[in-house]
Amino acid sequence: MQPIRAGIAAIETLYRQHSPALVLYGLTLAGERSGAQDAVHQVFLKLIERGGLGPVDDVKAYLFASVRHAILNDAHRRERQVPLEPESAWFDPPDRDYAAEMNLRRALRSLSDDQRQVTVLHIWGELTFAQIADVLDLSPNTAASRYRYALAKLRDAMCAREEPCANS
Amino acid sequence: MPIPDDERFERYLKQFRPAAAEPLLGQQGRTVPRRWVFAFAAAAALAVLAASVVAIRLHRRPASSAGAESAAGVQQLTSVPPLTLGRANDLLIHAPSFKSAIDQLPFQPERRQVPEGAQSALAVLSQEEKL
Repeated sequence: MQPIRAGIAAIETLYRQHSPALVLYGLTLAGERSGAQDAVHQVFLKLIERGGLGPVDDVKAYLFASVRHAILNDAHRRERQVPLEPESAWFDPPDRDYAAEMNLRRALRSLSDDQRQVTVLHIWGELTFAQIADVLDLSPNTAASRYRYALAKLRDAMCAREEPCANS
Repeated sequence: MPIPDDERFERYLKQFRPAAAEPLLGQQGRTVPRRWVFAFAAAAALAVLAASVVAIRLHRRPASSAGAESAAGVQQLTSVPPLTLGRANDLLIHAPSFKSAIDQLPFQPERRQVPEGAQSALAVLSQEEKL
């Protein structure tokens, strides 16, 4: 029983470490927080049922890829695209600047799905371009290039408003 | 080569922390113990079942040995020499009455097959009584 408990404890630690970014990434795919949260829970519950991760080379990339699969499978099952949910907060903004949070959300929504995924995975998921390439089944160069375009577009979208953004 | 503005913008973006996820234990913490409770209950039921089977077997052993003893007693009783005409005559001579002579006859659990053409002592005696 000890190895099972240790496995569950390790999974809980992983959840505490990565769940905020995983849910954020799920949000960019599912379009709504409850769907993203369900997908993340689904992934971790399966891990707990299996008693651990098993032989996984890159745990973080595996978790993001698993959340992606869970959400895409669910979307296929429902056979409909859910629009991005505009109301719920995606971030805890610095200095409780909720206007900036809303501005960031709006800018992220202006990106294409691919650009938004790469951006979220790199900035908040802290995945390297090689890891992103694994998750999204791309080449690392494509991931990096997509990220550069997305970042420029995001900055334009955010700084077109009055927020200080990159100059702060 | 990273562009300094990009790095600054990335730092700015990283100040926004992804909103906290719902606690996994809030949902799963109850589920896992429930499963364990079920597993423990199943294990306890199996243990009780196994203990019952062992107890029944242990209880049966003395019974079977007692049965063996009683079987031996029966065998001892049945090993009494078979009733012959001579023994029946002796019983009738020495017994105070016909009834007491019959009462002293050993009980035969198995009906012995009388060879064809022959008669059992009891049959002969009962015929004599009728006459």
